[in-house]
Amino acid sequence: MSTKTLLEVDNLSVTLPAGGDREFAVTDLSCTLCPNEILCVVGESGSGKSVFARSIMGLLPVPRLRVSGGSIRFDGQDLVNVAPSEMRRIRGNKISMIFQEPMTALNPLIRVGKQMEEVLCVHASMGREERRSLITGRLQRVGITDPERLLRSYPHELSGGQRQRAMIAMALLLEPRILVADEPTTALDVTTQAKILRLIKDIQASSHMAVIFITHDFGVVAELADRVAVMQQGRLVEIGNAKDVLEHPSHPYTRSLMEAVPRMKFRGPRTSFDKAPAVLSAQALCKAYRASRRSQPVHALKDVSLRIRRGEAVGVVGESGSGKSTLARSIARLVDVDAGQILLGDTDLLRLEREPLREIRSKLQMVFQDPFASLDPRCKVGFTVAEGLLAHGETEENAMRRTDELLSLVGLGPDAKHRFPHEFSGGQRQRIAIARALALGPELLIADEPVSALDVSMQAQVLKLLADIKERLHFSMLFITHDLRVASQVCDYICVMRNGEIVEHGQTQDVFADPRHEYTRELLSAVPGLAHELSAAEQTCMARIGIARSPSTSEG
Amino acid sequence: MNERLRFIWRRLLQGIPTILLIIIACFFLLKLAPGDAAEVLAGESGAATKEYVDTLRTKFQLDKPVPVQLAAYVKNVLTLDLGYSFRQGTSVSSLIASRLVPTLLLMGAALGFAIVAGIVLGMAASNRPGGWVDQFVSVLSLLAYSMPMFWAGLMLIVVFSLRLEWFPTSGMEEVAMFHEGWTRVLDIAEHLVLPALTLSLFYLALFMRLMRAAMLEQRGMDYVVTARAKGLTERQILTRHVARNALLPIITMIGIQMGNLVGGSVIVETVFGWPGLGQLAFDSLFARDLNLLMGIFVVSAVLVVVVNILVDITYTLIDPRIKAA
Amino acid sequence: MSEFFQRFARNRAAVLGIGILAVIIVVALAAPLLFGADPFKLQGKPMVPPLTGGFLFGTDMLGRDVAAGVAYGARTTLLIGVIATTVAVTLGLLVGGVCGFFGGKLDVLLMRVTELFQTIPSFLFAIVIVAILGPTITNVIVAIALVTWPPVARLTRGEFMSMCNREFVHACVCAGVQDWKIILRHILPNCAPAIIVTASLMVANAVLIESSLSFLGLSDPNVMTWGLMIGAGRVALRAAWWVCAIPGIAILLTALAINLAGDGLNDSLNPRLKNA
Repeated sequence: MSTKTLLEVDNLSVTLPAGGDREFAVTDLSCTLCPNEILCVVGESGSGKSVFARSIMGLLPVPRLRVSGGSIRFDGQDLVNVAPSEMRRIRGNKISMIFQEPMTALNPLIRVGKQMEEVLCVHASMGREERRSLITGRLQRVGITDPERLLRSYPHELSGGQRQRAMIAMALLLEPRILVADEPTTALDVTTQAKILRLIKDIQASSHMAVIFITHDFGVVAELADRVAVMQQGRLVEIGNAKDVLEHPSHPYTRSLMEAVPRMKFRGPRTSFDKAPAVLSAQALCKAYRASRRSQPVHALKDVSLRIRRGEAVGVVGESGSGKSTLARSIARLVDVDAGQILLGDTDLLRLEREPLREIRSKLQMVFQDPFASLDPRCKVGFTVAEGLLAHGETEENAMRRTDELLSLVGLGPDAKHRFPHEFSGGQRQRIAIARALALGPELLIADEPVSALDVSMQAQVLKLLADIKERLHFSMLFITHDLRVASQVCDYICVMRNGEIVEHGQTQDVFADPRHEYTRELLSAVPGLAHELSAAEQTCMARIGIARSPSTSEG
Repeated sequence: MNERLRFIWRRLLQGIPTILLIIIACFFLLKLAPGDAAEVLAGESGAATKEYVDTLRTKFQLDKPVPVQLAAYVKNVLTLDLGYSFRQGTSVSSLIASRLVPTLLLMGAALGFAIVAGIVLGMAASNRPGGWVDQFVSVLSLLAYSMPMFWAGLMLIVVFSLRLEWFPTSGMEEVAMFHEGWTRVLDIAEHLVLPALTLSLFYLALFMRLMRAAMLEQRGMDYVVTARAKGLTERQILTRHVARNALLPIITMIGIQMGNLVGGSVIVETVFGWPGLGQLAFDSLFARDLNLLMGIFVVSAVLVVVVNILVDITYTLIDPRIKAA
Repeated sequence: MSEFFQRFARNRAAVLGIGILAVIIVVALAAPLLFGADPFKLQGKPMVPPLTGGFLFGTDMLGRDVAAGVAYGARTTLLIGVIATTVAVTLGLLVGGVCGFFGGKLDVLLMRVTELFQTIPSFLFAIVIVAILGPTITNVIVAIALVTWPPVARLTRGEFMSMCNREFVHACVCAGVQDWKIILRHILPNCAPAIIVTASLMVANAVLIESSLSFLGLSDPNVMTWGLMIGAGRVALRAAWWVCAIPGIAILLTALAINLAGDGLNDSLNPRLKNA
């Protein structure tokens, strides 16, 4: 740790436009950044971490957000009151930034190579050949195997991982002293995320650059950080060495966050459901999508079979494009499959249409991912919860009584039924969605990534709620998620999906403690911060099975 | 490159059924007209001789069953045999051919002005939302939207031709003068100013508003923040990144508005006596020469289809996300 | 609901628009009272300038009262505008709704039909329809409706399709709610703002098309319309420019008022979409 500080932030305050939920996006924030260290700034949504990152580079959307107090000094130079031309000289050159969504962060109409060259054209005077070779070199450094092709491509022609690597290469072209990374891996798949994190760590180690890494995921913090800063509602509540903060958090907020983070559960009481009758049995489901008549079909489901027993929670884990959502929607009959059989009890769901299908739907209910999209903004909460009951012929009086019961069950109270969805937070809306799903007394609850869109603290609450009511009401659950830690907490049985196929399945503890399939191992090793959670015994166990602690950094 | 040619070919092929359908629709529309079909086709100008009406009856097989009539009509239209106009004393096809160029000139000038001025004013308005340029653009476009085109033309004539005498009141050129070369071009240009301005007003308003909205939308996009983070100046960001993306909706709109533009030229040509297809359509209305009117209708539809194909091709040239597939 | 009215009232331009419309409607309704029963009646000397001889807007080449023409023209224009738009919107809603909700082959077929209508130059098509069917008020309404329904169908289809993909609609399907209930209770109310705004702006468009048609002589010659007055007044443009100017100002004000009110509606129904 060098004694000279590279960046000094002193009592920084950023105002929000009038009418927001608070006056300042960032209040009185003070911290320092030394060369050759990674500082992770962690917080939930609305904590102001992104605003802080942008204010360093002067990228705040003035006049909506403005620095109203304090100072930011880079190598002694004031960045808040600096002349615009001087700030431009620093951007991309001394301090660079990478963003969360690489798809939208690149101009869709211009080739990637040209966009990368722009940095060099603005800051340096180099010949064309020199530019080319510098860019190609950097692309290879970030693990791109075919730089020439990437330079000629447009953003939409690349994968998410490739785009983010190109962004990183672009940010590093002129060897900046500081790299500001605003949640660069949040939008990526778990396996890609692991590779990119590794890449950033490598580059930082070899170039001794300072990195400010914004994230909401404590696993990433454990993987990457030298120092950690925790933000809550615009204030910095704790800052210190990563080890200290993660293992002995001093601030109550940090402590509550750490408790809410889902841990990978490798051991626990085993409940065997072998004796229980099967509630749902799906056989050989196949579904293919065709973008147009000419293109190749995309197989979302290839001969997928699944069984859920009474009282069991079966998890389906996979990355985007694995087909797990399609599977959930096929079982819920929201999407039609091309072939297969879905037995609910004795009835084949696929043979039912119209009235009989409508009636049997009450046994299969679903909770969706996006709490903002799954409730009609124009309907009162009470109506939303009661609608299913009313549609199945229940009287209004009974429906309202049941609504009250359910809203109390999910912790919201009967008064909620007169209010509109926009008056509730994301976590509360998800509870309403759960209440709605329970209204018809289903045998099977399908939860499609129900907590992925929620903050960590709300995530823990909703998962706890699900576990509680499952105990009480004895329904079975099909739980879709991409987060293995969550799956290990919630599910009794796990299926791992990839490219439309189930590659491995079994009791949760068995699959995670002793993964057979290569892809399962890859997924496990990609879980950020996993190594830091495991006890010594577990680590030896992992090593024995050959789970790589350091995944390769190149693509593919 | 090959893929692009295939795309053009496919779009052309797609245009054909559309045109065929329009011709068929015309046929049935003519059938709807009250009275004897041959007389309707010959026109009520009274100049048609009995022999001509009989010829029409045979040519269009009017005593045969409907499907045969339809086939005959389609064949006649496709071979560009649209009949004979007694009033004008020449074949319909040659009439249309002679009037096509002035109309294209008028529409081209109006559209060109509307696009250029619309883009410039729209960009200026989006630079400072709420500023005086923006307010001016807002008011101007609202007025232009709400103004009936024929009235705007008439008022322009009153002010600029009758009172100020800056421009001629009607026509395309001083016919009696027999200008040649550059003098002729200038003469036509002088006559073109007021009609083109009138026709362009509505589209000027449209493009101004569209460009402003598109620029404002694009400025909020993530790639603009990235560009800023790279150290580009605001001007560089505007010209190299934002403007290109903002042009896309404008191009789409041109295709959509083509049909309107043709209709607008009917009005403008009537008001200004501009010798184009629009005025021909108006004349044929008065002369109850439905055959001529239908001919113009088909030609206009073909024009719209062709322009739409051009617009599609241009769009694929600019936006690489649209696969020319 | 009251929130909506409050937002609307704050938009001064929209309130101005409503005000102008109110004045026009009142004048239209009161026309017989103010100007007698026949706007075609010769009232005075020909080509009297405005504000002379007791004529607010002067007289035309034949001596007819321009003000009376304007008042009676308002009735025809507003009537045609509203009826034609209603027909067009109903047709567009039906076609677009069916396409958007059910999809499939019906969607493809109906969309081809809509595309066809949109390729045809719309004003020219309207001229052709009236020319063939004959110049009566009914035919003018039919022509305008036939020419203006495609954008509504497109919009409705787009809105329906986007709504059908929303998760709250999926949730209703999952809960076993009947299709018709979903459409009525969830889809239509969420699509309504866009459709209402479009419909209100279409009335302005219908007014402009109607006046253009009657300017060209494609309207019932026994019914007084603004376009008719302007078309007839062309011959006297040099000497009596007010015969053309004043009815045109009436058209401009009507369309302007509707556009202002429509924009105001848009802003108050979609408050989140206001630009910075």
